[in-house]
Amino acid sequence: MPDSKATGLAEEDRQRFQDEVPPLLDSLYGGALRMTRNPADAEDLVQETMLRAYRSFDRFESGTNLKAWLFRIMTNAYINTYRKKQREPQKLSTDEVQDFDLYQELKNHDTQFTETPESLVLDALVDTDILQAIEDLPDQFRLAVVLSDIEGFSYAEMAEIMDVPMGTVMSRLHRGRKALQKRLWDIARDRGIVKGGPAGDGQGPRG
Amino acid sequence: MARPETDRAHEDDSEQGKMKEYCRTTLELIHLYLDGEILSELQRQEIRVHLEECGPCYERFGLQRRVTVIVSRQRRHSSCPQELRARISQILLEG
Repeated sequence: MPDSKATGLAEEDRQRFQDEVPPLLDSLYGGALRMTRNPADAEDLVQETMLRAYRSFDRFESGTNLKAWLFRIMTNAYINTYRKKQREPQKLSTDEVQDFDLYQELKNHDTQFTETPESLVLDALVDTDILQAIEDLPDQFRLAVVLSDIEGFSYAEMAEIMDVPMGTVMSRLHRGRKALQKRLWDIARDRGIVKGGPAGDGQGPRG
Repeated sequence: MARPETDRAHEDDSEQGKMKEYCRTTLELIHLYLDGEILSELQRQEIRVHLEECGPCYERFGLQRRVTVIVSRQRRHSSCPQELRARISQILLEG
């Protein structure tokens, strides 16, 4: 008999798991890193996801999206285990995000740039700035932005993964993207890419 | 309630309040448009026409698209550590 008694997986499933899952590990680890925001927890989360997925692989419907199925398991594991022990970042207030408009900030700011200031500001940000801005997002917003804009899931897949209605997916994604723009703007000010008042006050000079 | 940023933002969108409302609606749909999510052909057409006519909305759309592209590039920073791969293979081999 095949040595898969412990999981009850048929040899065929076991082989499929070993063929199809490892190519998705980079994506899963990246997603885990963005969720947990630290490498040690990300490794634990991926490992736990693999164990859970392996044990229930006989319930995976062949022909459906394996990556989405794995992300759903991982998101559940994250919410149930890791999120509880993590502190939420407090870098953004809801009101600040609500009223933020990057276009208007750039326009109002009368930056030192004479042409297309928006592209200069965005181009001046490096990957560590972008990753920091993502990390600073509140949990549910961060998850929505990561699933959509980094992992490329559709709204319908995200609704499955996050176990919420499509309307909630859209609302979290839109607010998350707005919050991200706000955070990028604050970081650009902290780094002196745009000159002006202290970062995070949400008020550019008027003029 | 005073929302100077938003009012200013839409000041030059148009002279008319009706147009401001239109900007708001378009900006809500812009994410779906950008993400290739389901919109009717009529909605897509309306968004395209509005973006052609309204400078500020066109620029907001461009900014959002650029930010989304910059974020999507961060997937290059996700590489599963070799030890983790090895550990997972081992666990799976043991069943």
